[in-house]
Parts: sequence; C-alpha cells; structure tokens
Amino acid sequence: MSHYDKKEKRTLTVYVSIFFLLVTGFAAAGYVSYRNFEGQFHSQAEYQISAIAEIKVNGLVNWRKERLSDANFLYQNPAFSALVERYLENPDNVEARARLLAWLGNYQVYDQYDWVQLLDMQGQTRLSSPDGIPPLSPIIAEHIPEVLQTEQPTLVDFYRRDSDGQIRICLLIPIMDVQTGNQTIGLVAISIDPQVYLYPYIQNWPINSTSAETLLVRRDGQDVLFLNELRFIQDAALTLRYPLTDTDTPAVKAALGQTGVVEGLDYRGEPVLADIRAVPDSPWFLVAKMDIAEAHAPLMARLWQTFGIIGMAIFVAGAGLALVWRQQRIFFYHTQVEAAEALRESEDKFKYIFDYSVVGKSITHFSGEMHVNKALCDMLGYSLQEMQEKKWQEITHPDDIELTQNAIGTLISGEKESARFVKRFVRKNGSIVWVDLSSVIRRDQQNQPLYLISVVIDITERKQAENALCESEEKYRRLFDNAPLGIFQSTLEGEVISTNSAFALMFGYDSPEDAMQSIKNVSTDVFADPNRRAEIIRLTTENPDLRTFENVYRRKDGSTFIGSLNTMPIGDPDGHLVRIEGIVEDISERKRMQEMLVKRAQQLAIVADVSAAISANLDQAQLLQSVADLSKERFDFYHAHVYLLNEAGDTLILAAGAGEVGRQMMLQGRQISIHREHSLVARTARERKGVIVNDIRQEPDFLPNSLLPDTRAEMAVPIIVGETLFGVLDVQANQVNRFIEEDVRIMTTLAAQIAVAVQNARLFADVNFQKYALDQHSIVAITDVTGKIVYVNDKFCQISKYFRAELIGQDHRILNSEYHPKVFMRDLWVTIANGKVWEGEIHDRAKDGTLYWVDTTIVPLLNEQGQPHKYVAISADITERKRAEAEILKLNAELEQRVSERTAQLEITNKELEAFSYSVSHDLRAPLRGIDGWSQALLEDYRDKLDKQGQQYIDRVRSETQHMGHLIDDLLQLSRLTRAEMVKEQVDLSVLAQTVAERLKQDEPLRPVDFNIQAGLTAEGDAHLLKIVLANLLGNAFKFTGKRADARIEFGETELEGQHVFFIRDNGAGFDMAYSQQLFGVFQRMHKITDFPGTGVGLATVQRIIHRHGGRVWAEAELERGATFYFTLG
Amino acid sequence: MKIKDILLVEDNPSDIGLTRRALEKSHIANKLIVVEDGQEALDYLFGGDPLTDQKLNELPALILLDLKLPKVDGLQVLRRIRANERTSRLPVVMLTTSSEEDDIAQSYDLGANSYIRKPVDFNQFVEAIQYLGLYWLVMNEPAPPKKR
Repeated sequence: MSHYDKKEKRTLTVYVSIFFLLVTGFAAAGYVSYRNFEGQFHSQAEYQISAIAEIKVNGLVNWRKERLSDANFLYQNPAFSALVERYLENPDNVEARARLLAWLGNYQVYDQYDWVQLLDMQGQTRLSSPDGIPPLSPIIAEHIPEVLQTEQPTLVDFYRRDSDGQIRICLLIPIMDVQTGNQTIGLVAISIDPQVYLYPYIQNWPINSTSAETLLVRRDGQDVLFLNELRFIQDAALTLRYPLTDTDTPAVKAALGQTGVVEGLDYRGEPVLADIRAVPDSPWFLVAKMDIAEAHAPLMARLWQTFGIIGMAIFVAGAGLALVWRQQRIFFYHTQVEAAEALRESEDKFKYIFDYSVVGKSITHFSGEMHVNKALCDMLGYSLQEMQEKKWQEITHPDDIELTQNAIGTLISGEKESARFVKRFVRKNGSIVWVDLSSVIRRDQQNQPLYLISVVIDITERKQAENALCESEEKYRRLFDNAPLGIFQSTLEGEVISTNSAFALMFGYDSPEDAMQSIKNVSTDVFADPNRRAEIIRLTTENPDLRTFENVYRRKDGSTFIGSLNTMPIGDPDGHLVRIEGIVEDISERKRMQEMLVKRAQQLAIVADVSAAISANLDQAQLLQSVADLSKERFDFYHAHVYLLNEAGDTLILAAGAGEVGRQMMLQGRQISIHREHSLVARTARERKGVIVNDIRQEPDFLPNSLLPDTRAEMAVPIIVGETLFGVLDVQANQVNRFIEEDVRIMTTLAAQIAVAVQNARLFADVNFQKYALDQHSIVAITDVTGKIVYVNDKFCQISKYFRAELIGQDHRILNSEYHPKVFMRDLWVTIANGKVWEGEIHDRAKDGTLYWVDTTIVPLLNEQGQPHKYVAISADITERKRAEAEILKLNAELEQRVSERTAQLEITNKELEAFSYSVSHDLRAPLRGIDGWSQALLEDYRDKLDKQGQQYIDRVRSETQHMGHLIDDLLQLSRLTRAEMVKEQVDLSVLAQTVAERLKQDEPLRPVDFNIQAGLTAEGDAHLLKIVLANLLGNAFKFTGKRADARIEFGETELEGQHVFFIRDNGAGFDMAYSQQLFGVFQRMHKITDFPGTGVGLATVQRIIHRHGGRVWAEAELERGATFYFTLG
Repeated sequence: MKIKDILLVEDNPSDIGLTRRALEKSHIANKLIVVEDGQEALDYLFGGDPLTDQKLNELPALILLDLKLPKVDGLQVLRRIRANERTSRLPVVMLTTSSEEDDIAQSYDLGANSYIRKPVDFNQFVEAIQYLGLYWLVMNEPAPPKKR
C-alpha cells in the first residue's frame, strides 16, 4: 500500500468518525427536543380541557342562579301572593283568574319554560299556562312536601315526564300569604325544557374537535346517571348509567368525588383525557373529555417531524463531509497532475537539447531500440526514420563490434559508470566515420540497466590527420575554429597552448589569441573552482575512460557559467601525459532554463497558494495583510506592501504591509498621489502595467525609506480587474537585479487574483452591510421553491423561539398557526410561484406555542428563465398592534353586547311598564268611576233618606274618588312621558307660555294676575313636552299665588355661569328650602292639600321632561316670599 | 218611525248601570241594548241563527263600544263592523277608560266616529253622554243604508 493510500484511509477514518459523532449529536438533540415538547404538550392539553370544564361549571352555576332568581321574583312578590290568595279562596273570581293567567303567561313566554302551573296545597293544578297541560308528574309531587317544609324555591332535577317521556327540570316555588308572609298558601311549578338552552350549552365545545364533549352526571343510588344527550350515543340522557364500581370511567370518578384531570375509558370504551369536577350547589358532576387519540395527535406528528429533522440533518452532514473529502481528493490529484506536467516540460527541454544538439547523441535501449538525434543522423548519412530501424551492430564497423560490446559489457556489469572509446561507424554511403564515443548507463531503482546515453563526436578528420600526418595546420585550425564547442589545449602546468574562436567567444575573450595571452593558469582563470582542474586530472588518470565533467567556468569578466567538459589526455610517445585537450560546451542556458522552469513552477505554486489563502477571505483588511505577509514570506522578498486607490481615484493609500515594518508604515498612514512624478507605485498605477527597478541606486527618482534601509530593487504591479484599478502591489528586494520580466508576469497574475478577491470582499462588505441593516430591522427568512427554509436571521429565531438549526431545512409550515384558511395560504403560494411579490399579515405560531403576527413581504428570486428559485420573506413583528386591535374589537363587541343587553332589558321594563300603565288606566279608573257614579246616584235617589251629615259624607267620597282619578291621570302622564318619542324642533317658548297663561286666566277670570312673559325665547326640544313643562310650572305659580292680591308671575331667560337658563318666578307662597331636595319626587308636596290642592306629580313630570332634553331643573324659594324655578334645555 | 236602539258593548256591570243612568238622566229615549263581550256584539250585529232561520237584528242607531272586552276586543269588533258592507256606515263611538294615544289613534284609523274617555266624575260622565246623544242621535244626519 502506497503512502498516499494510507493517508487517504486515515482521512476517511477521521471523516467517518466525525459523521458518527454528528449522527449521535443529532439523535440526542432530537430526543431531548421531543421529550421537552411532549411535556409541554401534555400540560397544554390538560390546561385546555380544565379551562373548558371550568367555564362550563361556571355557566351551569350561573344558570341555576338565574333560575332561582326567576323563582324569587314570584316567591317574594306580595302582589302575586295576594292574587293567588284571592284566587285560591274564590276560584270563581274571574278577574283574579285572568290576572294570574297573565302572570303565569308572562313566565311561560320565556323559551326555557314550557309550562307554568299554579298548585294548591294539595298539589292539585289550579291554573296553568298554556291551558290544558297534563297533570303533575309524580316525581314533582314527591318534592312538594320538601318545598312546603323549607319554604324555599327548589329545583327538581332532571326527570322524565310521565305524559310524553320528555326530559324536564322543574322549579317549585312556594307562595306565601300576604299578611304574615310565613304561611304557604300554594305553589308554582315551572317546567324547564333543557333542550332549549341547557343541553346545547353543555354540548357546545368551544374549539374544533372530533371527539371532545362535556357531559353531566349525577349519582343515582349505586349508579352514576348520565343527564344530557351524548355525542356518540342517541337517547342517553337519563338512560345510560354505570355502576359506581366501574371506576375506569371518568363519570364514575367524578361521582365518587374525584376532581381534576384524569385518564380513563369513556362510555364507548375509548381511552380519554377528562377533567372532572362537581357543579357547586347542585347534585351534578361535570365531565369534560377528549379522546386521548385526538389529544395526542399533534404529539405523533411531532415525533415524525423530529425523525424527519434528524434524518435530514444526518443526510446533510453526510453529504457535507463527503463533499469536503471529495474536494481534498480533487486537490490531491490536481497536485499530481501539475507535477506530471512539470516533469513533461522538463523532458521536453531535454528532448530539445537532445534533438538539436550539434553533437551526435543516442539513447540505446537494451532491447536494441535506439533513439538518435539529427546531428548523429547527419553524421551517418541516414534519415531519422532510417536510423530508428537500425541496430547499433548494423552501423558499426565490423572490426569494432567486439570493442563496442566489451565497452557495453563493462557498463552493464557496473564496473564503470561511463565509457569512452574511439570507434568506427559505417555511413549509409559505405564510407567510414571515426567517432569519439562517450556512454553513460542509466539504471532503474532496482539498479537494472535501462539504456545507454551516448555522445558521439565525429573525429574522422582528426583521425585522418593523425593517421595520415599530412593534415595541414590550416585544416586543423579550421576544424578547431569552426567547432561550435570551445576547444583548448593546456599544458599540465595550466598554460593554454591553443584555443578556438568558440572558446574565446564562450569565455568572453576578444579572440583565441587574447584568450591564450590572458589566461595565465587554467585552474584559476578557466575554472571557477581553482582545485577543480587538479581533481579532473586525478580522476581521469585514475580512470582513463572518465572523460565528461560538468563544471563552473569563469569568464574574462569574472562572471561564471556552467558547461560540460570533455577531456582528452594527450601523451608523448612514451605514454607520459604532456598536455590535455578539453572541449567545453556551455550548458548554462540549459541549466538556467531548467532552474527557471523550476522557479516558475514554484512561483506559480506560491501564487496559487496565496490566491487560495486570500480568496476564502472576505475581509478586505485581513485579505490584504495576508497578501503582504504571504508575498514577502513565500517569494522571499525583502518587503511587500499593497496600496489601494481611493474612491476619488486620485490617491493611493497604504492598505497593508508585511510584518512589523508594514505595521509601522500603516501607522504613519502613507498616501501617494497618483500624479506624483517620482514614485514607482504611482507610475505603475498610471501606466497600469508592472514596473521593475532592479538597482535603486541607479534610479534618481527613488525615495529612500528609513524603515527599509536595505532595499536595492523594487517591482510594482497594478491590481486590476478588467478596466478597474484597485491599487498597486509593491515588492522590494535587498539585492540588485532581483527581478526579471518573468517576475512581473507572475506578480501580475497574483495581482489579478488579489483584485478579484478585493472585489469580492467589497461586494461582500456591501451585501453584508445591507444584510446587517436588514437584519437589524426585519425578520428575514429564505426558503427554496418547495417552502423549505434555507436561511433565517437572528430576529427570526428570536420571534419564532426556534434555534436556527431547528428551522433550516424545515417546511415553513412549522410555524403554521392554523389561523388562516387554506385559501389564504394557497393565494400566497400562487402569487409568489408566479414570480410576484406578496404582501400581507401572517399569524404564526412560535415553538412554545405562543402566537404572533408579522407584516410580511415575500419576494421571489428569479433565475435566468424567470422562474422563482428562492423566496425571501422580510417581516416585521406586529403582534402588539394586532393585540391592541383585537382588544379594541373585543371591547367594542363587549360594549355593544352590554348596550344591547341593557337595551333589551330596558325594552322589557318599558313593555312591563306599558302593560302596567294600561291596566292602571283601565282597571283602576273603572271602579273609581263606579264609586263616584253610584255615590252620586245614592245622593240623587235617596237624598231624602240621608241627613246633612250623610250627604256630606257622600260628597267626601266623591271628592276623594275624583282626587284619586286625578292622581291616576297624572301618573299616567308621567309614565307616558318616559316612553313618548321626542320630536325635536325649534320651539318658541314665549308663545307656549302665553297660551298656557291665557288658559289659566280663563279658569279664574276674576283673579288679578300679572303675567310678565319675555318675548322671543326659543329652544330646541319637543313642543308637546315643553308645553307640559310650562303648564306645570306656570300652573304651580298661578296656584301658589292664589292667596295674594298682587300676584305676579314672570317667565324669562337669564345667564348663570355662562349658560342660558330659563326661569319662572312668582311671588306666591314659596317653600322652605330645607325641603328642596324632595321637591321633584313623585307625590312630594310642600303644602297642605287644604291650602293648595294637588297630586304631587307635576314637578316630577317637569323634571323628567327636562332630563329627557338633557337639561337641569332646580328651584330657589323662601317661605311666603315666592319661588323661582330654573331650567336649562340641553 | 220606530226609534232605533243604542247598542252598548261593555263588560263592566257598574259602567253599564252608570251609562244607562246617564242616558236616562239625559232623557235619551232610545232603547239601550247591552252586550257584554266582543263576540256577543258581533253575534248581535251579524248573527242570525241559520238553523232556526232567525232573522237578523235590526241595526242600532249608535254603537257605544268599549275597548277592553273579553274574547274579542273593541278594536277587533270595530274592524269587523267597518269591514262588513251592511254595518260599515254605522256610527261607532268608542266609550272607554283608556287615554292611551295608541288606542285613540288605532280607533280613528279603524274608522271610529268619535272617541270618548269616560271621566271618573259622574257628573262629567253624564254631561258627555248628553252631548253624545244630542249629537249622534239628534243633530247628526245618519248615512243612508247601503243598497244591497
């Protein structure tokens, strides 16, 4: 298993562990959350049932009180008792009978009472309403003795009527005699039909429910008896009963005196949650119950919901981890690909050198396959194609095959790493070519030979020269000079004895002669390392086959380069080494390119690293600081800093600098005007391209910075995206010539990344600020098209009382309060699904069950096809406003309710009063008329039989009777005033008063009365009623001035405390102000009837009329000094 | 010509006596026929027993009608009188104790010729009956009976 596989496996193990930790965490959170909810939910359901039970019980208690108060009305009513007494004494008393029937009828009209009966002491029905009802039920008869004994109104509980089997409740009221009030003379039985009010009230459940109901039971011997109609069984009332031993049933528990919330089996055998309690002052027990299945339904929903959330969370966690793992894998392979790419490039380079070298080169695999370069092909006269198919044996001179095989054998055996020998090849045209062949062997990791790399130099001519010894110096020189390789011969002592022009060129000498003269010692002047030459000589002496070395050479000007060296010892005939020939090939370019390639790759890697480091950073300051620090550190610069262009585009402001120096410069708050002449940074910004100053000492414009004393070279590149210049990245080096054009390109690449990152950071900051502003004000949520929440802000969590993690991934319906009808939500979804903005007020439910209102705007986010892909909901909390609105509505409704109740009561009272008045006017006056009439008849017909006294008595009877008649009339008028509809208009009070005064004067034409009526007094009011006021007040004034000879009566208007006040003033008998409080009471009189006759109703009438006009009436008087009555109107 | 009757519809025996006395004192010679409830009044006016083939009663010269009557009340009787072609033109005087505006208004709406409130003072009552008799029986020219 490779290192990578191991590492990968380890990583995978870590991920799997994290995943399982998360799964455990989610499961635990889900469990805790569910248990918590379960607890809350239980107490909530119980609270609901208890609350309803309590309301019901209160209602029932009230109902019973109302019934007993209805009873009390008759029970303590002397008028009624008198009627009953009269009727029971004399059943033929038609009038008593009729009036009793009216009373009973009045009762019976209440919807709840289906009949009312009057019973005598024997329990016999004497009167009933309606007429002809069946005789009394024995059940009621049983209760009569009890009522007679307690002498209190009693409710006879639910029973079945014999006559028709209907269920009724009966109210038994004892009627007491009028005189003593402690003797029962009869009974009134009122039958109440529970179907009208009571059953519906019990059955009504205030909340939507499929199973909830309330039932009423009572103990009946050893059983519990159900009293009302049930939801799930027909005709259960007074039929269904359970033995008291059946203690699983809540009804039984209730009857046994248990109270509170219990669980049990109801009459269907269903498990139910019930609140049981006794109804105070009654034999009743109330059971409010609901099926546990229904009560617990939301719990099951919650359970599934919790499972869903946990499953989803696990999935998301798994997917997230898998994603991260995959990213790592991608990154790993990416790195590998890059490495492979670098290798390929290096190989390309090698191939280039191989292919285009002027020296023949070959790579010979042991399979026999051979790669050759162009130079070798040219040397041998074959095309590349042809050479590919040849084996080395085919082109080697037959005499040299053995030699070659031996050399290869030494290489394969490992005796030598390289071999050099001279051999002959046969050209395509058959001619022979002498070559100096150097081979090295390459082996694989197991040290198995792979191939041979050979350098082949054509030495035919040299050989020919050597062999023929007739080659002219000129010819050799040409070869020598034309060779592309620097060739030099030196003595053992290090003196150069010949060179070629290539050597001079390579080493920076003017000519071969210059080189020979200038080079005093090869060891020091040619080799950079003075010991190198001696080492090479030693190596070649020890191993004659070792001929190729790579060395650092020194040019004339002192600069160095790398080159390969081929040495060939030249001995004297005795075999002593006398001089050395060296062939130098400049490979510095090749080396440099290799190095540059590596460096470039490294730099690009750094760029990639820095980009990666900053692209994840959305904070601009941090990001730029990372850029400065990373650039300095990774590129090994002396310093790096970043300037940003200000918004005006005229100043570059230092935004970040590497290290401590950067921090200090930041504190100085460095700025550079973009127009500044002598600034590299400003120039870079203006020209928008990278600038290098490789030796600041040569740059007259350079401004030294005391914090950066060692700066020697500087480079600046613009940070730019498209057309937008963000700023300048400036880097400095402490060595001259540190930067090349390549660096500009690299840094420009980096700067482009920085620019993108800065742009992102700014966009992010903008968006973040807007988001921050929005979050401060609003409740924000984002859902996907299916309504799944993908984002919520803090305010959302706050109001909904959920944690963010509880909401993300949830359907928005988690908040559904079920307040809105389905069509409301459908309308919402249709609107936003069509890409339109929806606005409205939503009633939501928080986690803890509290309800809240939000004013919401939902904006659909559209993709390129115009389809919504996300919905952003922005809301404001309006719960308080809604609550206030609801409060006002409720108060209004209550007020209206109260007003209508009061109105209804008033109407009833008015009706009663009307009926009363009507009977008074008919029934009270008729006998009076009789008394008066028959007294008169007596007087007329039997005058002779009566003495004076008797006649006077009869006159007295008549005058009393007539007085009574007046009293009745006045009372009737008074009561009528209250009811009469007012017609308001502009009334001329002066004219009215005048009319009244005229009439008064006509009554007593002989009385000298001075009426002084102010003209033109008008007021808003009912003319008829105001006339009654004036008639009473003026009439009084007229009456009480009756004993004065200079009677004076005045009607006028004055102003008191800024208010218009009418007054009627007289100089009559007046009255004592001590009694002024009673002045306006009915039948209140201030004077003896013999002095001034009257009924005592007039001023009461006046006051009532004035009050109906919204005015006030009062009086000032003094005994025997007259009285003034003031009144206002509205 | 035969003097036509006066029909008094009144249930209070005392009032019947007093009315009779008042009529006598006013020297009104018309025969007073008394019926004591609304149904009797209707029977008297529209009766006629189909079995005995009893003839219809002759219509009275004047009907004195109380408002509050057993069985069928005064207003109902008045309505029936006005609804029937034969009796629609009969002078009907409401003679009653009620001074309720509603009663007065309804009576006139149903076609009462006059509305008299019985005063408590018997002398005044006699006076009222006198005027009544004088006006309706002497001065007033009765409407001709409708031809069948």
